[in-house]
Amino acid sequence: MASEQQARPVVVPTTVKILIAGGFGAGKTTMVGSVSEIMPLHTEEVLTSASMDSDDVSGVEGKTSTTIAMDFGRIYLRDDLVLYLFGTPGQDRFWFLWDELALGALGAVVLADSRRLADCFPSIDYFEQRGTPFLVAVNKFHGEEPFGVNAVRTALNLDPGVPVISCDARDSMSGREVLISLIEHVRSRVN
Amino acid sequence: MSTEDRGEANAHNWMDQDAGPLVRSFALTGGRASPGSESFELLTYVVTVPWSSGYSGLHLQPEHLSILEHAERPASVAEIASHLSRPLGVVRVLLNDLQEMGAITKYSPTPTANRPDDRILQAVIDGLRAAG
Repeated sequence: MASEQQARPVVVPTTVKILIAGGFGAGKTTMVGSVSEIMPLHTEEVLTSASMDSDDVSGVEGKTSTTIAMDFGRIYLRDDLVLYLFGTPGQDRFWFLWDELALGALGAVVLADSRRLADCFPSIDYFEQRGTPFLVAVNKFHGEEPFGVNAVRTALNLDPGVPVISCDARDSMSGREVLISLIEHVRSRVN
Repeated sequence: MSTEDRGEANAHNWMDQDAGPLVRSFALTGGRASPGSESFELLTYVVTVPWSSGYSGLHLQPEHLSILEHAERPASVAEIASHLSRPLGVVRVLLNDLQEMGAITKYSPTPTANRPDDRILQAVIDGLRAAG
C-alpha cells in the first residue's frame, strides 16, 4: 500500500497527428466524427494585437477577436499510441492557424467534393509548398460519384505520386481506410 | 444588445453572441493573451504534480483546478482546451501559471514528425484495422 504513495512512472503516449483538410462542406467534420470520438476545439483569431505585455491593458478595447471552433478527434490505438485528427478551418481568413496545425503532422487528407473541386486547391497548394505528404479523398455524397478518381486527378493537376482515392466520409470503415492509405503513402516516401 | 447597437460600427462587430465566452475567458487570465505560452503545443502533454509535493493552490481559479483534475492522467493541451471549452490561447496562459508554480509537468510531443519510425506507422495501421 505504501508503494502507492511513490510517484508512479508517467507514461506519456506517442502521438501521431493527421490533418483533415478540404473546402467548406467537403465532409471534414463528418469524417473526423465517423472514425473517432469528436471534440470541439476553440481557438481565437486575434485580428489586432494590442500589446503582448501582460500588464499593459491600455488598448485592449481596440483588440478585436473572435473564436474559431475546429473539430478534432482522438483514437487510442494502444495505451501508448494515440492518433489525433485535426480538421482544418475552411475559411481563407483562418490560414494563419494552419501552420500550428501542420507543425509535426504526419500528413494530410484533402477531402474533395467532385462537384466543387476548386474548393480544395488552396489545401493542395499549402501541403505541396510545405512538403507535407497528402492524399486526395473524393467524398461520395449520397453514394454518387459524378467523376471518377482519374478525372479528379487530371482536373487537380496532381503530381503522379499523390494518391487519389474515393471514400464515404460518413462510413467509419471507409474513413479508416483513407487514413491507412495516407500512412502507407507516407511510408513509401520515407523508405 | 439591440440590432441598432450591432450595426453601429465595425469596431464593435466582435460583440455578437460569440463574444460572451471570449470576454469571460480573458477576464480569467487577467487580460493576459499570450505570455510565455509558445511552448504548449497542441499535442504537448501535461501531467498534474501531486499536491503532496507542496505547491500552494491558494490563488488558483476553478479553471486551474479543472486542469489539474483533468491532467491527473497525462492529457494533451488540445484535450484540455476542449474539456474546458476555452480558447487555446486562454488555456495556454492557465497552463503557464500552473507550470510556474510547479503544479504540472510538461512533456513535449515526440519529434517523430518528419521521419516517423516505421514501427510506429505500422502500429498505427494495425490499430486502425483493429478498431471498430
